[in-house]
Amino acid sequence: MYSYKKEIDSIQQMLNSFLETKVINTAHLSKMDALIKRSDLDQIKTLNSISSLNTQRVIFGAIRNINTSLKSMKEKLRTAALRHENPTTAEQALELVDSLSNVALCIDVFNSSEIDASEIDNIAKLSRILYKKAKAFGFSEDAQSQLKEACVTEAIVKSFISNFDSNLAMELDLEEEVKSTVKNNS
Amino acid sequence: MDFLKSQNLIDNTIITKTVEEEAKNALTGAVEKTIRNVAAPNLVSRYGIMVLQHLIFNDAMDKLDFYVEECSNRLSINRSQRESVKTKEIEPFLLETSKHTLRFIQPNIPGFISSSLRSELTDRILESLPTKGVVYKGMPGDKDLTIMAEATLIYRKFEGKEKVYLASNDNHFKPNPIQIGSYNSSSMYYTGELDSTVRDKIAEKFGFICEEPSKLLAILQEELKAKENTKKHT
Repeated sequence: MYSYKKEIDSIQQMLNSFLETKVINTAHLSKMDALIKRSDLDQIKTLNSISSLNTQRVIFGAIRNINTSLKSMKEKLRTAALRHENPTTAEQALELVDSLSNVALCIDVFNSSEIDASEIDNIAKLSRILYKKAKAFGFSEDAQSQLKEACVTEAIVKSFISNFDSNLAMELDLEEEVKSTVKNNS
Repeated sequence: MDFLKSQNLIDNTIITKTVEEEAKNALTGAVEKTIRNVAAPNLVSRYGIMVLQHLIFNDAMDKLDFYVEECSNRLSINRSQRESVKTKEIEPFLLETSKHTLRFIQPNIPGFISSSLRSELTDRILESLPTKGVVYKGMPGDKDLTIMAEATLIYRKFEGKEKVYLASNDNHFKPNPIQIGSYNSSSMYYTGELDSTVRDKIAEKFGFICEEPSKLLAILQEELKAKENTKKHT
């Protein structure tokens, strides 16, 4: 069975070898491709599952965080190699591996068995830690390129945000006043 | 929150764990409702929506983390004391108070009375407030009661020497807008007036003053100005 954790372990070995030799060997970066491709596909697969919306969101987010971190990491390592950088980027990448491993382990468990709601909350927490750490190290893609890649237009973004604002007002118990404003405007 | 940070009032701003959790729950609930509302006829558009919600949700969580970590302070809350204040003081007080409140004003005017006279009669009924009725949203939920108990404990921690404000847009906390007619009525409207009776009773009994965040900001700005003026004169 395919294992996210094993792939991360192999990436960790690659990064360690970069640090030992003090050279980023770009020929080895293709080791990251399998997991990038797999996580690309698994994001779509999650949307086709019968899980609850909350579970779909959390698993999609966790896989996406692994995917975008790795894509960005690969690109940064390639640029660092071109600059013949003393592998600071590899050091930073290695620091992210623990967070990647934690989320990868959860994805493996999710793929192999049914997990309960409390476990989903834990995945959400670990995934958020990965997101924050990746962002802090610069291993993240900018929002605009992510939206472009996902074919999300400006109109969709505007409509989603306006809808989100109304729903947030309802969640914050302002529902009556929101409804009344809508009525008065129409 | 940005204003409080800019004025170096971080130590005076408290976000309790319950409030933080409530904010997270509200963001999660809102994002999930939005996904359900937005039409995604195929897998490609659904993928786009999921990418978008992922970005928006994380951005909102980043902002929340910023407010919690950089703009506020957290005091210790004794959980058993909180439970005791909540169940033995706040809950019974609000149960009793909310027995004598109304969600909205429903003038009982017969249908044959013309609309101009109807609005005049409605105005007369409103003028008699609060003797005719106190407007309040009704009994708060469990999390709201917990937040009120936390505010009470914080007020008591300062032994009543400090003013404690609770910023909220929720009508269980802030003065309630006076509403004419039920939510289902097409002629329902707000008069623009606020009924602060329950808010004031809570403040009198438990010490903390609930207010809408934008109004609270204005109050704080005024208080800071007054302090500066006093400093200048001395």
